[in-house]
Amino acid sequence: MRAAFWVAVTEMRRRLRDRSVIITAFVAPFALAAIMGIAFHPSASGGFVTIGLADLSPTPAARAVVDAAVKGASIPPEVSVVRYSSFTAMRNDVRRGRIAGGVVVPPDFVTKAFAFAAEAMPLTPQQVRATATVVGHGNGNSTRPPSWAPRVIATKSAPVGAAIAADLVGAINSRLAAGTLAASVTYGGQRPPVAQLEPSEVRAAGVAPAVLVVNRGQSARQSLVGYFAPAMAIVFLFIGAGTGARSILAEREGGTLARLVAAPVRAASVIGGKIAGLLGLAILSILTMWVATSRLFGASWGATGPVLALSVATAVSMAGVAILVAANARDQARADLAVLITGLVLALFGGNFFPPGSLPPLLAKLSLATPNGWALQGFGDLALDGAGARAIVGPVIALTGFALVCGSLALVRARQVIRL
Amino acid sequence: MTDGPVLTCDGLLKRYGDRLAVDGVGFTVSEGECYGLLGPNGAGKTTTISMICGLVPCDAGSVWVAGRSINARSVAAKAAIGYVPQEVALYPELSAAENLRFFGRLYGLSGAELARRVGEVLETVGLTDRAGDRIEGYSGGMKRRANIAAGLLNHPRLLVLDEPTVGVDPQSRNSILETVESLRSAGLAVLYTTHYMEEAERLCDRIGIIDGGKLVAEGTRRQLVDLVGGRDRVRVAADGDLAAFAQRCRALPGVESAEDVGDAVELVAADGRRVLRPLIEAADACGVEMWSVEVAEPDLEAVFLSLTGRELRD
Ligand SMILES: Nc1ncnc2c1ncn2[C@@H]1O[C@H](COP(=O)(O)OP(=O)(O)OP(=O)(O)O)[C@@H](O)[C@H]1O
Ligand SMILES: [Mg+2]
Repeated sequence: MRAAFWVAVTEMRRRLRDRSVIITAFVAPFALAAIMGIAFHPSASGGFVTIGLADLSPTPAARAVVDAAVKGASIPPEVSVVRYSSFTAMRNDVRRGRIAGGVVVPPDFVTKAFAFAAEAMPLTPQQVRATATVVGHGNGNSTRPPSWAPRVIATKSAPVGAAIAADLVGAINSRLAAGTLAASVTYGGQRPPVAQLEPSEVRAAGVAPAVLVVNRGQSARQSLVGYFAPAMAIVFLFIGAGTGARSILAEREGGTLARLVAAPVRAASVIGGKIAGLLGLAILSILTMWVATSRLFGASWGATGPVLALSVATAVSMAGVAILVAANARDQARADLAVLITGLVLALFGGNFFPPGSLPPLLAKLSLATPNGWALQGFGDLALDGAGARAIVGPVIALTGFALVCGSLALVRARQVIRL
Repeated sequence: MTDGPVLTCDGLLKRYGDRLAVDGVGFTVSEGECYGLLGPNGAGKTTTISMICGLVPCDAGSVWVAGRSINARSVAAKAAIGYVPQEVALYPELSAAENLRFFGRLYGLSGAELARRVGEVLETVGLTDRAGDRIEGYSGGMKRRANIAAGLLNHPRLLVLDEPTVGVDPQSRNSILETVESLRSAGLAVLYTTHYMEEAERLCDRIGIIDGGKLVAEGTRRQLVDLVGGRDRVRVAADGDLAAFAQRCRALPGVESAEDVGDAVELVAADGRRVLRPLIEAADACGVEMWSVEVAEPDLEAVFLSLTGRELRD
């Protein structure tokens, strides 16, 4: 145990002295996440995106109001809106990645919105401010939108869709706000509501609920950086773990492995220590990413406990696969190449470069054949509003499975390698 | 200390595929003795050492170090061995002191004892003032010395050095050889492999000649030379009637031939040292004035050539 500990510490110390390790483990993933967060911003994305709309309004009149609002919202040409009659059907399609995001209009939205506008009229400025606080965003008192406000359904693995859906909700809301305010004037109030509500308060009442439901009040950019942060960390920790495992081959060629085996320690301590050092670095790199992106971009990964647990599970499974790949290569150069290619293929299918929501359904499904896909689903769900430990149960089980299978195969191989 | 040799190995055999890398090698090394394994590239030196240190499992044979059996699975018994691999087996991105602390910990050292021991071995190899520098910044000779230091950390009973002077400048080589000599004097059993016969001659009390995985001969230098019937060459530079002097020399006991080569007489004798006194008497008798006498014993190169029919170096 003691020997394994020192092997692990020395492994980490050595690797942290290596500038290329610092770059691949810490600098590159952070820079790429930041760049991709900006590049994938809806306004910059050229691809087609499908957004669901589940209008649950009960009466034809109310549906007509929503239709008018949707038509009036200036939806960009590359976004198409598909209608759903049930909330569950739409949510499932979002989960499966068939659509990039969805907007729900709750049954009582139209009537409540009209009532709200009607009530707003005779209110004193204080009361208006109180209502706006409930509905509004950013005052810090309450972040819950009223239950009747439209909601965006999105998984974080489809951040482009989420951002566009949020825009759509904003558009519906502002159209409706304008409509209801106009309507309330014709109902014969003594003073027009526009005069009573400050322009910012109108905006708050109308637009804010939509934004609030997406990813803990994240802006589109924050949620995109929040998506790409773990995504990039995962790609690089795979490559890092692979080169780390390859360094055992280098130690065999360099002779230090012989020196380790010549010492009165068990082979298991040597292998265990090496792997622990490797994992330590992988976990360190993903946690650094977490701290850096939340501090610098305000990206939110979710609750601390589950983020830690999922980070560890992700690091362990990615390292397991990487070690297996490296351990089966004949020499160092081949090991590096194999790790790089495997890492890129897994990242491509896992959704590290293209969020599953922006991929064809088949590819989106395929992402769950990779540990990357599971990890990203876990991180995505964790970042959704109100997600707790339950959100990561599935991903953690899947990742542990990957880790166990690949890890034990890799161990068998590592034992052969260490017998010089 | 304990009776008997520190290292006893017997019938060591290692097969790589069809190739027998080591074939029935066995020898002993005692306390305060330096045993040299001399052989060309690919002879099986490293493989033999690897089995002795428990790095690779033997296909047959046994190894005993300080009374305990060594194999690839033994852990505690390895504590008695100090191993200096053929390559510089240190982490280049760590300093010498960091490397030594790490390897010392693997041998169970810690705290003040570890610090003291690291200081001592650095002193032994003369690297104290460069202890904090990274290995990657060391010269080749310094790397080799640091490599040896790592093998000394655990106060080994048996020190195993695998060609520790390959690719080293003469000055560093000399310092390495001096270090090994003093360690042997301090009572360590030293197993030293090399393909430089000068090193084996200078350093080793006994030498095993290994070729093609087999130990073809073993003994002190003199025994090896006698084994192949080696003859000393004696060259006497002198003035006077050298032809008569050569004639007289041929009649001396132990002299096999004597030749007048102009300014000197060259003799071949079974043992050069034994004929020196009769030579001087013969010179006196002939009225020949001697300037110098050189005795050249046959070297291990010649022994190797006669044992294997090949040169020691490619
Ligand atoms: N891991 C291995 N796999 C296959 N063959 C090996 C292996 N290690 C050594 N050999 C073979 O065993 C023979 C002996 O090699 P060894 O390294 O013991 O020689 P050596 O005397 O140390 O040579 P050198 O002076 O070049 O270091 C060689 O023919 C070598 O090719
Ligand atoms: Mg060798």
